[in-house]
Amino acid sequence: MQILINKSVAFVVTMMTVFAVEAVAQGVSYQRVADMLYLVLSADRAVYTEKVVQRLTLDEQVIMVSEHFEDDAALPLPSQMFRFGSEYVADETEDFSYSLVSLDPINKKNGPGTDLEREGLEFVVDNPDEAFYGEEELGGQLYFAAVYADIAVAEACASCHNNHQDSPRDDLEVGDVMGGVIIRIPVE
Amino acid sequence: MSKSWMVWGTWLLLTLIAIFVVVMWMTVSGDRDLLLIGKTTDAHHQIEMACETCHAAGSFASTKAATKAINKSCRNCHDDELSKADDSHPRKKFRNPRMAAYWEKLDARLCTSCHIEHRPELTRESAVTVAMNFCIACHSEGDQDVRQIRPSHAGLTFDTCASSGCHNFHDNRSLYADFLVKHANDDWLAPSPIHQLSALYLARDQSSNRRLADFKAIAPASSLTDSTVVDDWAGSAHASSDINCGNCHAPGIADNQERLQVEANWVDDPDLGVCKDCHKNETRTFRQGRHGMRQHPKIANPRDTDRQLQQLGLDQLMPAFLKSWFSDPVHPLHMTVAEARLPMHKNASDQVLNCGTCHNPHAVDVRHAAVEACLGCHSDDHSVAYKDSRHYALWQAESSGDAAPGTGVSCATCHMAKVKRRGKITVSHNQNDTLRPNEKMIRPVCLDCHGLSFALDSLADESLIQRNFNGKPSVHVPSISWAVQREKEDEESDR
Amino acid sequence: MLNITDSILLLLENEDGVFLPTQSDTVKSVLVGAVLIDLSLAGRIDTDLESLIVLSETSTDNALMDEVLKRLARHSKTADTQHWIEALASDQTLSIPELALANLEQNQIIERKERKLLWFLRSRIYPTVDFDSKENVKLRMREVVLSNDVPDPTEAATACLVEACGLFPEIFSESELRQCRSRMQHLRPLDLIGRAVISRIAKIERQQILAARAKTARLQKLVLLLSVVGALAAAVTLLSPRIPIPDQFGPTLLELLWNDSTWQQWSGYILLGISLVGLMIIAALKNRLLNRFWNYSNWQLAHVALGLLCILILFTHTGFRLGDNLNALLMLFYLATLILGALTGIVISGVTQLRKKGVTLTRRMRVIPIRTHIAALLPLPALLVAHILIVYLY
Repeated sequence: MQILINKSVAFVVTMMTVFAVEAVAQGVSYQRVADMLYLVLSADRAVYTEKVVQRLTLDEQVIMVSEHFEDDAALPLPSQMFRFGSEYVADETEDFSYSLVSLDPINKKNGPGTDLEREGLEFVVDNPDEAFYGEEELGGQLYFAAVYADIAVAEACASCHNNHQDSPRDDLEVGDVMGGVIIRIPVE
Repeated sequence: MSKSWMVWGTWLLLTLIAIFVVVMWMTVSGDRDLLLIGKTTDAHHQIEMACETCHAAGSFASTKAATKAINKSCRNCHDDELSKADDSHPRKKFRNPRMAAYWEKLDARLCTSCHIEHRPELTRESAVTVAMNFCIACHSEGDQDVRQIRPSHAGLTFDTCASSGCHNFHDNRSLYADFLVKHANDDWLAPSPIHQLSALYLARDQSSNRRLADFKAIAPASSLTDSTVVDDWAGSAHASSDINCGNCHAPGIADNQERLQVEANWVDDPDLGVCKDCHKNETRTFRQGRHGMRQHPKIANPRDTDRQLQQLGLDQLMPAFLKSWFSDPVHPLHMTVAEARLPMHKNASDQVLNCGTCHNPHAVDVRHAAVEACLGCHSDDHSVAYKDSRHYALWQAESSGDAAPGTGVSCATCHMAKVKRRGKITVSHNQNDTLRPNEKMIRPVCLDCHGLSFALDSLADESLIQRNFNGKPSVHVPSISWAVQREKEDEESDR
Repeated sequence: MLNITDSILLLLENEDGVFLPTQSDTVKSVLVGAVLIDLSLAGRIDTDLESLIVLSETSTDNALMDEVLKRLARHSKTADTQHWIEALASDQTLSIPELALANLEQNQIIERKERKLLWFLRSRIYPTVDFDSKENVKLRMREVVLSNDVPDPTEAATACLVEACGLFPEIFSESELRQCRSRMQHLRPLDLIGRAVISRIAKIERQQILAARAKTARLQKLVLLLSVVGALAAAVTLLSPRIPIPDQFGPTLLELLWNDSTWQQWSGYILLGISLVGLMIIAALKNRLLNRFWNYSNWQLAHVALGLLCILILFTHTGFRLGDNLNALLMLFYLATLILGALTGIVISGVTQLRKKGVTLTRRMRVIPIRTHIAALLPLPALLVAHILIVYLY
């Protein structure tokens, strides 16, 4: 009898552990997917910024970089390249989405659009080395959301944002948090 | 059987027959205009009998599925031009869930939020079916309130956004602030006005100065009796590019120099489909415009009654006279002038729209195709007024050799845009490329000769357009001065 | 031995012990008459053509008779029998059926029972216990009426009152009833009180007929009014320009009504439902399926009112838009049905009014609107199927 009770308790404990691990694993997996996506996104943009834009515009000085790159036969800005990618993804899938947002956006539509975006952006301004994770419901769907700090890595980033006539800031310096990248994954 | 049973029996029979006919129209018939719930918009009326093109979700699909299918169909034909127009409100921008709050205001993910068909009562300019102050949906509150963001917009009402000549929902390529500032100091007319791409296009080497004797037409003797035809061909780019009679009149033969082969396969009136084998770009763009949209690859062909019946398993059951009744009339594959909604010359109503309508297949005179071909059919005020315009005088001067190529302005200069890509100049045969909204014309056409302010004002002046730009605009679009003012204030504050 | 009041009351009982029409004016009058005859037989009162005189006020051992006698005696002025029947029948303080039932119960001819309906509704029933008494009453009636002997005046009076209550069909067969008619001619004049009851009932019936006529006339006027309003509303629907959807962004009521697919489906199906109810009312009326619930004129009025309602809902569905192609055809026939229906209403209800003014409509004029009304209805099912299919298929 004692053996039976012991075995039952052991079985229940084991099952609970499995459930807990499973649940944690579920939670972690969204976070890990977001972290991995962010790594790809930021890596691609870094490569574009360094190997294409900086090399061709500053080092070799063979082409300009311009917001109106088509009119000016120039290279798109790294942030534009990033945004085009995000729109490309949005056109292809609803499995995840990402965008570049800021508390001080040049284009007002890139300002914090939801409570979570504001919270996340404020968090990464204070903790540039950490990511902010949360969940929010949009359009009747629950999303896992992760916000990562977007830092002015080059002088060009800061100066452009300081000088643009639609920008609310003119005091940005290299190393400052200009905004954040938010990645959303619908929670099934 | 009593009399009243006879009457009610007959009524029931007739009712069932009527329902049968309606169901057949819906499922089998090619032509079924009686089913239309309202006048189709201009342009789409050409393809209104290709119902399946847009109503692609199948019978009794859910509203969601039907809407999805219709919107997919919109994108099938319009995605390219929207992406070329650098669409300011593309679907992809609104698919991101962070835009969810806007979906409820005006769902910009769906074309049908603003453009629904068969509702003439709601249809406004550019086939918009919501009130034209629709910008109010998203740009009137909080951070997005343009009246707050832009001091110059403080007292404006939302019905003026698009009607003033300042903004378009989709295409703002010649309206955005930096562009306005860049062209703020343009003169109304350039010192030596030449439309560069037209000049380059007309200057292409066509080798048309080679003598007739250099070319040898290979065709049955009986077809070579008309010397003008032979002369025209010999002077054309076709002859100089080794396109001989057989290429068009005996399509499919291996060697156009083999007289026997040519004679054996000779066709007096070849289908103008032969053009598309070589003129791919022209064919593609022709099918995108109103002249050829019925043949657009994404537009369903007229429904084949027999095939539909086979699918339903009714082809054996239905008597031949019913089959022919349901399949008649077959909607013509080519657009005819008679079907046009714009004013056309009465005597042109029999004309069918294909390559040969504008181009003489032997002479291939682009100057004829650029003016006279158009005016052969179009009889609206704008077209009729053309020959009294300054643009036409310039065209005449150019045609007679008194002025340089590119100085004249023909119908085609504005409506058949020349496109330079990868060093090659082609003519877009989509006559709508530079229209709808007409600010699309500014960059590829107007700006070569005119200043931006003058172009904006002219294109906003409807009566000036009707007079075919005979005179100066009486309307002024303030956007440039507002953009310049803002730039100036920004510079001052920076200092 | 039962008195006349008891006999009649017994006959009024249905098989389940329920005395149904005891509250009707006719039955009350009959019962008053019966009590008066009983009193006269008991020698308490006497009647002549001008007056009813109380001879003695001594008790009769019958609560009901004593109660009535008390009332008659209390009144000093002389009045005729007719007056007394009216006065006693309409006296709210005197419940003749209840007192009579109590009497029967006391004599163990009936018993009192409580019946429950749906847990909470209680009703009292009085099933007959002594079936022989009831059968005896019936048998005596048959004897009196069917034989040709000179009748006993009491029996004759009972027969008169039973006939006045409309109870003969309970006692006689169809063929006997015809026989009764001529016999009753002789029996009726025999008793003065009986005659007074009959003339009182005739008066009540006359009043009822007049009231019914006045009601019909009122209904007809209402039908006429609704039809004229309906015809005008349908004409407005046909002729007036559509009400535009406001040129303002954002949903307004009008935009929802005429542009929102959910609202359109609701208004459309409600319209269909009401049209069908209107159609079914007339179809059922023609087949005499509804008359027992409500009379013909009422149903007619309901049909016309539904027609008017249809025009109003049609407005919420279309906003005076006539549609295109097949939809236009549907709208045209539907409006034709409504307008011709209204016209039919005007003609049918206006006939009397016109006749008063000296205008007589020919049969043709009366028949054409209703026939065209029906004819315009005929294409509607096919067109409606097309209308609904187009919405869902495209």
